[in-house]
Amino acid sequence: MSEKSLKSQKKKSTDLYAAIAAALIGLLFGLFVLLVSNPSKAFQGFGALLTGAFSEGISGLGTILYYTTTLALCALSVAFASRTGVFNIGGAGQFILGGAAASYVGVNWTFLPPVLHFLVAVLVSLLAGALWGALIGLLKAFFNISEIVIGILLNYIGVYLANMFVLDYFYDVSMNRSLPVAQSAMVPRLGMDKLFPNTAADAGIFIAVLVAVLIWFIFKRTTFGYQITACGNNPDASRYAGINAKKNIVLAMAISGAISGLAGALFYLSPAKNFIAISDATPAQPMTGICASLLAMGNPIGILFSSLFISYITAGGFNMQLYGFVPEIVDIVTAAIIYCSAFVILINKAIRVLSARFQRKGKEK
Amino acid sequence: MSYAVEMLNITKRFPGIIANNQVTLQVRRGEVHALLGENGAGKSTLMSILFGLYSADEGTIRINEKEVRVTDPNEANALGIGMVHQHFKLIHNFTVLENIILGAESQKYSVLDMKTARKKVVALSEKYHLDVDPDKRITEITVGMQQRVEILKMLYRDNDILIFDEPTAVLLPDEIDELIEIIKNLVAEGKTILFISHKLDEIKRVADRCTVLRRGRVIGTVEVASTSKEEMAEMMVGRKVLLQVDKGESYLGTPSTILEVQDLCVKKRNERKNKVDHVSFRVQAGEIACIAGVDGNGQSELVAAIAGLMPSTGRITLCGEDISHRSVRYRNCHGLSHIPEDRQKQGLVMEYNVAQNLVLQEFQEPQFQRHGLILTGAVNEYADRLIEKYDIRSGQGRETAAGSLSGGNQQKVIIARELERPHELVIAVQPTRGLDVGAIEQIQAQLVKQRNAGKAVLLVSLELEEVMSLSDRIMVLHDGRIVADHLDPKKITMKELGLYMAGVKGGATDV
Amino acid sequence: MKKILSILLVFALVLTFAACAGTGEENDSNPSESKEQGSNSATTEPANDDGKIRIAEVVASTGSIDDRSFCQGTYEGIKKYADENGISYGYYQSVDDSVAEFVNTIKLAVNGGAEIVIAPGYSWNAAIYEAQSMFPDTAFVIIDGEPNNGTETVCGANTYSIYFAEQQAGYLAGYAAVVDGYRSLGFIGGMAVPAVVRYGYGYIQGIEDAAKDLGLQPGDITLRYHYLGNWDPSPENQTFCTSWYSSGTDCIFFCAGDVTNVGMAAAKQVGPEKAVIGVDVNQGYEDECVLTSAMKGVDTATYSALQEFYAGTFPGGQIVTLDASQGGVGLPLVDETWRFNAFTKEDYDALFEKLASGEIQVPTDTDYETADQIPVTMFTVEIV
Repeated sequence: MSEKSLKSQKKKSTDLYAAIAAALIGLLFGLFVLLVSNPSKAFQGFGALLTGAFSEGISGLGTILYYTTTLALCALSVAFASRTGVFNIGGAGQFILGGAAASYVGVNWTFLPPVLHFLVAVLVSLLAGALWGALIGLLKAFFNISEIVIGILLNYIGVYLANMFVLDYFYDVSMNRSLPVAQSAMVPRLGMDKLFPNTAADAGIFIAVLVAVLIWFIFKRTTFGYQITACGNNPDASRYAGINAKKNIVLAMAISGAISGLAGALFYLSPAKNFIAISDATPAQPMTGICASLLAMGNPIGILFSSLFISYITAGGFNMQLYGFVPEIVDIVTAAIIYCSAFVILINKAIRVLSARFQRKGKEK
Repeated sequence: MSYAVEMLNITKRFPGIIANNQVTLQVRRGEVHALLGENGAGKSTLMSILFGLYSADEGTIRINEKEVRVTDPNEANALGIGMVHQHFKLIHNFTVLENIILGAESQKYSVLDMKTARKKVVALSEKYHLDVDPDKRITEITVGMQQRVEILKMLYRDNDILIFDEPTAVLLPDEIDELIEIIKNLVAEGKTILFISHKLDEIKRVADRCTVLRRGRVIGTVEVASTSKEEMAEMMVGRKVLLQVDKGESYLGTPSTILEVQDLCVKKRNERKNKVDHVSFRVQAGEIACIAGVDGNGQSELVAAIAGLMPSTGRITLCGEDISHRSVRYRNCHGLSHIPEDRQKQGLVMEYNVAQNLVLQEFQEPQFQRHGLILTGAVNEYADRLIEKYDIRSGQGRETAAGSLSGGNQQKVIIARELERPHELVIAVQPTRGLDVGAIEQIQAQLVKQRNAGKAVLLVSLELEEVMSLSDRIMVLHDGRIVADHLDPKKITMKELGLYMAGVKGGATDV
Repeated sequence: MKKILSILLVFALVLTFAACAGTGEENDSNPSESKEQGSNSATTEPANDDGKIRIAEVVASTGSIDDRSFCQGTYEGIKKYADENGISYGYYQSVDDSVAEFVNTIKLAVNGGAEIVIAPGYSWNAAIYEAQSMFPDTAFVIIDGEPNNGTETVCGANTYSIYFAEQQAGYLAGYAAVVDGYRSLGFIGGMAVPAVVRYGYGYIQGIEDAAKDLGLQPGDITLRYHYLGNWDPSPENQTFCTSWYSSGTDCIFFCAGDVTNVGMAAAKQVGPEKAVIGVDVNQGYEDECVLTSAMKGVDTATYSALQEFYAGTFPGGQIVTLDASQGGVGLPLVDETWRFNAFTKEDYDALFEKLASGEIQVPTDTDYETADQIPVTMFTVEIV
């Protein structure tokens, strides 16, 4: 028994080591980019990158948590779908539509009392995201169309649909964006603004943590989680065992979409944002979410930490502008770090091979 | 006596295992040398080293008394070594001639010189009685012929050390006879043959000497003529082995029909021909009914249709109930157990651990879940019981990922799962494929036990020996049709069975 | 394996410390006032030696400092003043276009040593509204916007808000184009935001007046009018511009940010006779096909705001609209980019004088809801 638990623990710790090593390699690569772009200020800039998030003390954590909320939910959405073997790259569409639907409720349904108003807006965002996600699932399950192609296409359709929706129903001409969300529909602060004054922090992070734990539980303990993981790992075996793979794919994509929709709602309903700009660009968070999910290797609890890390880098990178790094370089460095982190699977493999080799050498001696 | 091939003290390690441990193999010029061993004994690794696909960690190779380093198959070719792989390396829409010269094209003014090539191929084909038509496409010729094309490929390259990797696995009994003839011709012309197999009969028939491998080590090299099959089997497995299944008395209760298939047709999408063509048969309680046939004659589709994995027309009755339009899950819950053809692709979720795999169908049953939550305690208890009962060996018990089990233990997980759930019918598709003798013995015994307990067993197998020794009744499937329905394994010879399988004989029932 | 990991870890830590130590030293060692920044060549190097940036522009996440338009105009004004007076300057870009991020960006600018922060565009309204009270010792200039939190406008004593009479610039461009012989005209706006609408309405009025003054017949002139819905120099937009040019439109006024760039490409693609009217800054330097540009003096306004700030006469608390009378709008008169044939500089001066004196009134965005409601008699506004 003790040996058993030791071994499974070892696997988990390898995953953790790999994630940490990936993050470190990402940071080193970021430093390299800095050295290439501006050697004289590289170390200053790197310092700002690492410490910048806390340049104003602990309240910096508020900003990080604010970023983490959206990012973690986007990553959880990707992780949930990938358990079914579907790569949900359509998060951006689900995100913006969820956000647009929630904002619509937030702007227009002011007859609802506070808190309830917020909850209804969130509920509507879940539905919108689920619908958009299920569409990918349906096309994938019943027509075997690549979810990547559909996902990317639906992202654009989602963005334009959201624009159309905003323009028709709650548009602020003078600002070229949606009307501001009513106070009663905004994400509650729950004292986060007291804890982290002058930051965007709100209660969204608690929802993200809750969702992560919920997903962890679904995979760990429920028959539903068991089924969709089986479908993802081996669709043939699932079919053989009488598990309805098609139903599960659609359902999992709907849930994945709902999580993305929720991310959109919490982002656009946050007191710090509260509007949707009319833009043709797809929102960036769902894409970064893919990286966060990869870095955590799909582990829902791990995603909370990987998102925290990426948010910390984003917040820190912003401060590099103080040392004269133009925003483009900052973007390159933070992106390099984030994408390097996604090499985690490769590193994980390398660590296993290396450790196996070391062990054998040790035994032979 | 001079040696054509000498592999001295070869050691090859892979992460976690030593595939070859100080292996020494010496092959005399002009002999047929068999390499015998269970799956995973290290035969393929050793041959891959000789053929330049792997490089050895330690040891030396000598070809024709000269020390060499083989780093890739092209070098092996240059040294005169050729290999017929288990899975042929042919391009299907090329002709035989094009396949043979591919990679060794003769040129004249940098234009393909097909004339000279054809002459050489035809000459070789005649010399060794291969009877190959150089202008047929690969898709138009039989598997046996394809193998001859592979042999011609080696001869065309003037190889004189020829490696055959399990060459009979894909052949009909007749074709096996012809192959053995061809091998003898080749030896007569001075070629040296390395023959890899785990089938003792063939080795007995064709080989002069035999080297036995077990767990990466050489157990010994013997003269085939003076060694019995039983002795060789013992060397291979490491203990005494029963080569014949002891079936015991057959079931004596009232025979009742468990499975009835009527006029079943399966057609694949975009294909005109039926894969399974108006098939009807019954399986009784207490019998092992076997469907024999050459691979690809509709067995997989037939089983998939019965299990509900593939749409079909016709009627399938299980224990008196028409299940033709029922879901897979319904069938699973109403008496059907299915040991699938491909255990890794279909039978197991490799990332799941043993316990999770043992409840692959039953996780939704009330004993394993409540309100959608899996009762981990109950699952673990059940898993531990089955692991004990079926002797499933693994590193970390029920927590072991299925993917890290050995093939035999993977199959045991499936068998434990399928035989422990409530069922009346067991469909077992090639249940012993690729397993070593020890595991085969256990699994066959389990199936016989099912029969003796009054369950119906439908066995689909490509191994004639297994068909002959296990079944109570043989049906032969050829080209999607049942060509023989009630063959008695005690009365029919393997050769006759082969004729049915080849579609030469047919239509008759009850021999 | 642990060894490798720990080595990696140590390596990373050492780097981190080195980096932190580096920054600390840098910040502490030189607390004195900024040094002169003499050379103009290092324009992409906004930081001065002590790391303090005294004049800062803040840019939205979707904006860019080299947009050949609005943000760039602001930055050029800053650059000109700062270079002349040896003051360090730079810009900061926000991570997202939310109010919180905008405030963060301003915060960063103030932390970076900014005495005066210049924000281009109305999207900064709410952020400036918050920041002006958060940093009472810092001066703020907002261009094309005013400190507004969505419900009220409060222009603090440390904030100066500048608007432009874009309709007058549009008027000049439209008038000049018709006088110069163009009959088939177009207007492409990014989105129907106030400044763009003002340009467009003025353009329509200018065309109308020129047609009347030239004695043309109704129907001699056609005008297509369109808002793209974005500001992207995308292939789709280029195709759109090309389709207009190749279906007869000879001159298009682009009020759509970077779309001007693909508009120029489209014009050149179709033929040498096709013309582009640029916006905000003098885009005539970009290409021969740019007939003229409807300019607003973002750079000069920025320049003079800085001048007043450092002279101690900062017009804090004021919201002004700069029009022709203050030289806030106009067409570029530089010979190099003067590409009119029939329209002369004398014509321009006369016209400009009428605008400045108020003799000519031009409709603005609040006068009409859509462009086709403007009462014109010489042509119909064909809204696409």
